[in-house]
Amino acid sequence: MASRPLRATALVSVLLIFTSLLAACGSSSSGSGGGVVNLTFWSFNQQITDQADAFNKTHPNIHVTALKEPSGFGQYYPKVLSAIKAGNAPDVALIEYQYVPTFVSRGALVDISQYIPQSVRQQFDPAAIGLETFGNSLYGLPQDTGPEGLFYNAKVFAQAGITAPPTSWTEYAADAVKIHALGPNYYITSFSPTNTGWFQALMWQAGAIWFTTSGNSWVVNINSAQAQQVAGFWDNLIKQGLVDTATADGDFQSGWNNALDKGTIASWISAVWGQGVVKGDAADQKGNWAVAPMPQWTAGNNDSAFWGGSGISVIAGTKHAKEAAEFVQWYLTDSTSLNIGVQQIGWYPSNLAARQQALTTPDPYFAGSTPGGQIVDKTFASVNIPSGWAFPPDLDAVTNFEGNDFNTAITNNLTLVSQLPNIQNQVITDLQSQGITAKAGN
Amino acid sequence: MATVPARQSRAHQASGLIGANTWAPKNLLGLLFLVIITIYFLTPLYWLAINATKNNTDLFSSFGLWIAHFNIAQNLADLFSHQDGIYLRWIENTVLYAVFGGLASTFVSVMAGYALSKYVFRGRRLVFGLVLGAALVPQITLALPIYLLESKYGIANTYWAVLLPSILNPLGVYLAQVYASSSIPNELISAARVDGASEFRIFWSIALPILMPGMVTIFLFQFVAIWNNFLLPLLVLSDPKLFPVNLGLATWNFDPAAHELIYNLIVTGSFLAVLPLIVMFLFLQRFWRSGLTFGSVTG
Repeated sequence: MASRPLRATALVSVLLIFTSLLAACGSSSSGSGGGVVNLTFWSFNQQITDQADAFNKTHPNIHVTALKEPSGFGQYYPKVLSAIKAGNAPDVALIEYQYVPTFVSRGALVDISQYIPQSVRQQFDPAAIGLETFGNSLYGLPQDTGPEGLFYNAKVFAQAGITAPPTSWTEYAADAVKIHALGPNYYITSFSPTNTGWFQALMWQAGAIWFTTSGNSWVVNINSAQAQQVAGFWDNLIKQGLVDTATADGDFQSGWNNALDKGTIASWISAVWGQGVVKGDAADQKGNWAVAPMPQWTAGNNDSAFWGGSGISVIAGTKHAKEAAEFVQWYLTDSTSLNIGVQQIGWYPSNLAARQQALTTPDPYFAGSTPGGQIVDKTFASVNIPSGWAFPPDLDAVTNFEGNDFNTAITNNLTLVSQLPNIQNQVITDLQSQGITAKAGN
Repeated sequence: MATVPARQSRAHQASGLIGANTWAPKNLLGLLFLVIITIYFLTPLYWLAINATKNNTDLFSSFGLWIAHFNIAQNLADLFSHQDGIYLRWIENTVLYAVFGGLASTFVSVMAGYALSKYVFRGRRLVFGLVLGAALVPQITLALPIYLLESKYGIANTYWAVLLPSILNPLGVYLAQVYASSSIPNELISAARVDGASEFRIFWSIALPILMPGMVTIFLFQFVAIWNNFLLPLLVLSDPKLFPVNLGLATWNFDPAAHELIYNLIVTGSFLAVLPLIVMFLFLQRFWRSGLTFGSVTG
């Protein structure tokens, strides 16, 4: 092992020789003549080049090159961070909300508050703006959000004798019993212990805010009373065998796709973008599915939470922060760009005006409760997102601890509740080891 | 090339002998073992071939190891038209990286291996030791340093960013050294020198033909390595127009915002992307076999 750096150096020096030999034939870097500012924009959405073309047409002094990058886990974000280190980073990039604090804590994002006036910020969903704001700093504008609801197979629900979707978690648990009574393969939902973002959204909906900031310190509340209540609710369903915990049946796994199509998994708590997944996976169930608000902890509320959703940020190291911020603002407020985003990419936009326009077309696939189909997005339009949730400054660590500990719990018939203190302690230790001030909130 | 037919016929004789023993009862167990191993290795490929013919729903709802609705024509049409037919561009890029990278790498490896084998110079053992050590360094650990270096010299996100590192193959240099030592008699080189041939002429006209089977092995190694390399292109390329096919297909993977699922295109695209490798192996396998055993007698 000791000689490894030496060997790497040897290889690298050979590479250097090649590089200098071939520097002459290296392909030409894009020329930036005539005072035009060149910007690079990374995203993993489709059709971003159409949006960039529209921008370039109306902005003669700025030229944006939009590049669609691989989105897989362990691909996109490490790539952006490596590019920052290499001095090759894009000027503007899509960063999902859950990664914003991780990037901020590594100094990877530019504070654009001086370029984006309050009047512009007010055009967006305040819950989403909140996820981009830290103190007085603004680290991006929100592109799309993922408010959650309950997708359910109304035909299977009816077969189980359930006439209306559950409005409370108590009803949800009762319905879980009825659906499992249809047959040993029938479940109200799958429960994957490693689906960490999904579980965090369930916490968020209940007001169990895992992470908040207080001054310069992070407050970690993974083991709060509300958190124990939510985890205990699922412990109860798991113990009775009313939810499907088989690994192959976790969300997006092949067994789950198959079960949705057959109707044996009868519902899915998912974000607004989940409609595309349901339609694609359960094509044979066309007309049977419907969407309802999430089951509630407090009667009469319409609480939800975000699962997923992205913002557009200006990346550290850019030489053109002002122009980059101008592009970000145009990208998320211009009607041409928003139209492409909503109609072709499939955003549920954070821009409130664009969101109103998006709520028009009924979808015949979702005809389970409404003949002719529901206007799916409308169900998600009036939800309340409990305030105060922040994502952690080291998301990958939290994902690891939560996924591993919950997985251990499921395999060894332990409760999720019993894992919460452990997860909390691991997270706090991890943050402190990185020099981030963090303390327990309970 | 002159040595190839001889080697081949020897290989035929050898396999004929093994074949004669295959049906003896005591070898049935061995045969069974080979059959099981073969099934084990071919099942994923079989799965890929079968599922390339399915639409997105059948992919999950039908039995995985048998055909459902035969949708291959539609899949192919969609594959080559999705995002303005960028798939073909990705295939072209992969071919370019693998063919040119493989050829250049083979040539450099053979030159270096030949020199290390036949010339005595100060530091030869040190250089060979370094090459041997470098062969043990997983390429994956070098991806980030390579990327940082390329960024510094402004060739990140160009074809060169993938091609240049692909030319280096320490294992290839090592193999070439072993091949050259075991197959080119020093007397042959001395004789050529006496006849007045230049060093380059000796390498080009005498050594290279003898080394050809070994070169094919080195080429195949590197060709496959480049074809399958994911991490390096992921880091050093950001323009989708430069992506190799594996990286390109990764950009089609689940995009939460997109209201469409194109797993069927990814599966069909993956199947097409492995076909050239299979064809390549079928054509070059006789070299591959003889190349693998090349240095094993004296090396």
